[in-house]
Formats: sequence, C-alpha cells, structure tokens
Amino acid sequence: MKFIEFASVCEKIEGTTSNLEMTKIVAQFLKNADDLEIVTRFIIGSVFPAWSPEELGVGPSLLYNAVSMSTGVKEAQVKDMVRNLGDTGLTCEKLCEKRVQRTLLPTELTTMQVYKNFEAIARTTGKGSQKKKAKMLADLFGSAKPKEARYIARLVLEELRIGVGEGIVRDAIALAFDVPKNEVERAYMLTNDLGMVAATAKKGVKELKKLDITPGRPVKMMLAQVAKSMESAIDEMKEAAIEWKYDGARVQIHKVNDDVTLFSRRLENVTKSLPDVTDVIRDVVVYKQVILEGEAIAIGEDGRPRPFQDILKRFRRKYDIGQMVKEIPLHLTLFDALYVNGKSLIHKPLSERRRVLEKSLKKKEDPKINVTPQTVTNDVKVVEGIYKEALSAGHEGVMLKNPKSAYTPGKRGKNWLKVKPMAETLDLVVTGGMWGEGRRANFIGSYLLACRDPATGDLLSIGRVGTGMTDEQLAELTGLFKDLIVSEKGKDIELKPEIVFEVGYEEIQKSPNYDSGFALRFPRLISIREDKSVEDADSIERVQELYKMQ
Amino acid sequence: MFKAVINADILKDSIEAISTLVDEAKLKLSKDGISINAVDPANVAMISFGLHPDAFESYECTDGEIGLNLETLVDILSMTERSDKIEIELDPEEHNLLLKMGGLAYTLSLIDLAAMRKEPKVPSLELPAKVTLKGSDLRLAIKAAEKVSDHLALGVDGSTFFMEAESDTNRVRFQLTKDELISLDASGPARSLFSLDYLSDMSKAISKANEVTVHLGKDYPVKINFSVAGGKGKVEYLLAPRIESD
Repeated sequence: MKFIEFASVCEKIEGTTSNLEMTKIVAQFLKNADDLEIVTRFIIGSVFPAWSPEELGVGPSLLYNAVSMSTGVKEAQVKDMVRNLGDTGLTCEKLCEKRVQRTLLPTELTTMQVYKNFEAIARTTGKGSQKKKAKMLADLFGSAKPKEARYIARLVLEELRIGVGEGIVRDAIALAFDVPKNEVERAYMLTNDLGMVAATAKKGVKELKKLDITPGRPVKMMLAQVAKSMESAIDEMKEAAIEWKYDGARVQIHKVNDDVTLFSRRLENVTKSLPDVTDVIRDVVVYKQVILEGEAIAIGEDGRPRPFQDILKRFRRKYDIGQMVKEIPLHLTLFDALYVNGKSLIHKPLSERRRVLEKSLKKKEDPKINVTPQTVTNDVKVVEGIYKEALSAGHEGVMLKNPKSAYTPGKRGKNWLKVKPMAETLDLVVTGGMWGEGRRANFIGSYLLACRDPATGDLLSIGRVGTGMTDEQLAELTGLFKDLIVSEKGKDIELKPEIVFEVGYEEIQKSPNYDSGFALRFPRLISIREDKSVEDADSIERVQELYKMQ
Repeated sequence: MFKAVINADILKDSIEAISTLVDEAKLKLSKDGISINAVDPANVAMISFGLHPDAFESYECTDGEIGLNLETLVDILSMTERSDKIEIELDPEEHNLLLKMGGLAYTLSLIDLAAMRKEPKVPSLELPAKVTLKGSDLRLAIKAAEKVSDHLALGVDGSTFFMEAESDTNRVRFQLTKDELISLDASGPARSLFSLDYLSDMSKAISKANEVTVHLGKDYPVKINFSVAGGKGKVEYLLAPRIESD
C-alpha cells in the first residue's frame, strides 16, 4: 500500500469529530488495506506491538535533526517553527513543502517501506547510532510528500493525533471483517497486538477465536477496583481471598523452558533490566511453560518496602544494571497463574489457578521469591487484621478477590477489590502552564503547581497536573486562567499565582526537577479551592511531613 | 571465489572515498574488478566506484556480491602502514572476509545482502558545463566556503569557474579562469547550490586527486569524477542541489 493512502486517511479522520464516523472510515481503510498488521498499528500511532521490546529510540531533537538534514533547513529554524505551529507533524509537512535540499531519486513511499525503515532505526544501537538513526529518518523525509511527512513525524513520536484510540480500531476491525466486537476484544486482550487481531479477523471469526494466550506475548493485566468498604466487599463475595496489597511494581512473567520474559504493568518488556528476577524464575519455577503474575518489591535495611521510585529505577535502568541489582535487590511475590504447560487458565476460577500457583515453586525456599500468602475468609474482622498487618509492614493495604472469578484481562471489575488508606490531598498554587498540542493547541494543557515556602514567601514548584482532564474541563480552566497570563515563551506560560488547586496523588517522591525537591506521583485535580487564597495553600513543611508519613 | 593482494594505501584511499558517504555497501566482484554503487541514507549523495584488477598485486575472482561494513574495514585499515601489503580472501561458507596484513589476521563478517538497501539506479543527467581542475583547488574552494556558510554555489560563467558562499554578514568568492583550469567546456551558464555537509566529507578524497572533473547545471545535481589508485580506480560522486525558493 502506498503511504500516501495511509496519510490521506489520517487527514480525513483528523477532520472528523464523530466517533462513529471515524470508526467507519477506519473500517473502510482496513478492509482494503494490505500490510494489514502494519497499518492497523500505524493508525493508532504505534509502530511496533505495544508489548514488543522494539522501540525507535527517536526523540524530538533527533527528529528535528533528520528533517533539517533532508530538507536543508537549519535545526534552529525547525525548532522555531515547532514552537510557532505547536505541532511537529505540521512543521515537517511545511518543511517538505518548501524543501531546500533536493534528493537524487525520490521514490514513492509504501507503508511497508516506512515500516522497514522504522525497524532498521529501532535496531540501530551503539556508537554513532544517533547519527545513523537521523540519517535513516532523513531518507524517509527525503522521499516524503508534505502530507506524508506530517504523519511520518507523528508516527516517529508515536502520537498520531487523529483521535483514533484502541476502542475505535477494535470496533472498526469488527465492522470491516464482519466479526463480533466481543471476539475482537477478547483476541486483543489475549494477544495485545491489534495488528495481529486485524490480520486474523480478516480470515474470519473461526480463526479469530483461535487466537489465545501465548507464553512470550503479554496479556493485559486484570485490574482492581477500590472497595467501598470491607463489609460491602465481603457481603458481595460471601467469601473472599485476602492478600496483602504490596507496595511494589506488578510484573507478568512468561517462562518457556529457560527463556524468561518479564513485562511491566504497562506491558513493556523489562527483562533486561531485571536479571535477578529472571534468574530466580529460571532456578525455582518448576513448570516448563508458564505465565505468572506477581509483585516485585524492594525491601530496605529497616525491613520496610523502599519507595516506589526505587523499584521504578530498577525497571527503567538500561545500563550498569549489575550495579543496580546490588543497590536495589528485588523480591518477587507471586499471586496468579494464567497459563501452564500448554493450557490457558484464565477462564478457571481463582481458587483453581491458586492451586497451580502454589505448586509452581521448588520446595527449597529461596529468599528472593515466594507465593503471596492468601487467606480465604468471610469474616470482616480477619480482613481488618490482615489489613493492619500489611499497613504496619509498610505496604499499601489488602486485595479482596473473588475465589470463583476468572482472570479477565484488561478489565477493572468487581472481582478484585482493593482497600487502602486515602492519601491526603494538597492545596497547591497554580503558577504556570503549558499550551497543549494538536487539537488541544488552544487550551492550557497542563498546570504547574507550587507549594509555599513560608520562610521566604517564595512559591516552590512541585509538579504538573494535566492528564485525565476532558476537553470541556480544559476549556473551562483555560477561560479561568486566561486573564492571569503574565508571559509566554513558546508553549510555556507564566501565570499570576492566584488560584489554588486541591490535588490528589498516589505518593510524594523526591525529585530534582522541581524547586521544592519533591514531585507528585499521579497527580490529579480534585477541585478548585475558591475558598482558599495563595497564603492558605500548603507549605513545603506540610509536604515534607506527608513525605515522611508515607 | 575472491582472493587478492593489494597495497594498503590503495585500499585505504578507495574505501575512504566510499565510507565518507555510506557505512555499508554492496560490493560487486567480477574478473573485471570491484564495483560499488551506493546512495547515502538521506538520498542526497551517491557514489559509483570501480577498481580495476590492475590495481591489485594479484587478483583472482569469480562473479559475486558481498555486503561489507565499511566502518569496521576503515577501522581495521587504520592498523596498517601505507606500504603494507594486504591479503584478502573471501570465505563464502562462513560469510567472512579474511584480511591478512603483516602479522595480523582479521575475520570480518559480511552483512546479509537481503538486509541491505537496494542498489540505486544511477540517474542519467545532461549537465551543460564540464570543468577539470586540480583536486587541491576544489578542496581549497570548499574549505574557504566552510568559513562563512554551510552551503556553497558552484557555477560556470562564460569561461570562469566559480565558487560562492555567503552568510547573513559575510561572503566569499573563489574563481578560476579557463587558463587556470585544466579544461573548461560549457554550452551555457551553470550555477547550483550544494550542502557543505556533503562536500566537506567528499573533499578529503577529492583533494588527493591530480585531476577532478566537475559537471554542473542550473539547479541540478553536480557530478564529480576523479581517479584513485594511480588511474586504476574511478570515483564518481553525485550530489543533489539545494534549491532556495522564496
């Protein structure tokens, strides 16, 4: 398929606001597309399947370098244009319209060619790789028509900005190949690759039904809801399996003989970063082929879990891994089994999966791994006891699971409930913002938050809040802050400190990125405290206090 | 089958002329010599290269094609003295190229041809102006341009070959009349703009040539021809122009 066909469809979708209309356009496109696996991924703005360890490793500056190289326009000018247009894709389009540097043999791009080129970019590593990546990317821009350049740039940054998400593509696949939506969804949850789902759906529903969980390919993780209360949870489940909710990071473990692959909660392949975990799995797990789930925790010298950040450091580390393993050793506690020796277990009740799990480790105990202790009870008092134990050990709370429930990939249902203490909220002053990009270019897309330093009267930045807001909310807030804009530099806005946000968060972390020395994990806007003035906002002391308490 | 002996300086000069544009290349091997056609990753510059069997001390070869990592080869060649003799042998079964020089023996693994870029078609161009000058003169022009800008214009005006480069504030012009050139043959005026990113890289190999022929047109690619290995090797660079439209 010619890449220009893909670009034209993207453009058409970009000008569409109705989800139904978008679904129809995508369906029509998929129906006639060859290279179906590739273009299906492209249309949701990803190059590789979400679970694949391959990544382009191209950031904005490398992209600017490439487009500068192939069009002959200086990098500084490229950056200026991005700032003015607020969109890298449009910038690349404009630059290719009036390219200065010509190419020798411009060829017509195909989707396959673009994909192959991306693949080569992803595989280029090591010394001088940045320059090579830039050149390979420049090759694409060298042949690209202006409209193609817009979407190549956006694919590279893995954000297509045409408003097509997984939901639309799932519906479009069902529509295009006349297969039931729930089968598409099921196949997607189990394979995590819409490209593969589309290609299989094209062969018919019978083939689609055959797609199943496969070791080596991650399964979307089942999620838990917040329980209203322990009582109501027990009431509903009658009997619940109680486990500690550990303060760690979730991992999905795939073992095929001696090959062990680890996936994070976001299904990123983190195998390379966690060699200690891989080793222990290889040593003590008895099943030849198995998919297990568990929580990786790091216990400090005081016997309490180390901050979540430390675990993240382990997950994200790409170099000097050996050193990191020594600094932050991980312990793995396993709580589920999804597959064993050729059989998927996800439709089996938790109690049955648990029996498989309990037999998964060799008898001899290893301090690096265990099966999460579980108590099945209908007594709220017992649950409360376990909850208190978990909290006093420094963990987050408890999980209440329905022993009769299946494992539902990617779903946040009532069969897994979590009980944990509410984090305190902070009242923070809004001191700045940033204009959004693309369809949000006219809104302030995120807000810079600060706490007070009573000693100096300064406002110390502590983080940004922006994700999870609807367009309506953003519009409303933008209206509220419009008159408070002091200055603008590129997309950055300085705001007159006047408004106080009540902000919820998961955790306070130390961070060198903000003046306060702290950052908030998962900050979210709870309310605008119109009753509070800047002087009433929380102080840095309060932040320090809360940090110590967690 | 490929088995040959060559002087290190010839191999070095040849490979460096190519590796300045591409990190890897497909080498065509035949009894008539070695040839390479490669285009740089950004599709802006191309090299056509040929080395005659006479450039070698000894040369035995059947037709074949191999993919070579030139970066690694350049690295290896930096270990040699210019007067060294290098024995090269292809081990097709192991997908290796064996290089022996002095006491050193290298095994260089070949690149899978299927994984490489397709060989470019050489575009046929009618370029109205043809100038032959000393390689060192062209190098001088390029060096001078580097001082003020990141691109330069090359052209022919009447019986004068010229180079011009300018920035917002500074300007440089270098020109040679027909008498100062080895030859000039133009059916009309020519002027095109080129990126120094490429010309600077090419100029190292160019500067070593006694004679360089430059083919120019109006807002057209430039073709630069010169010999290596005492006339037994031929290099042709092709570089796409910059066209400023405002």
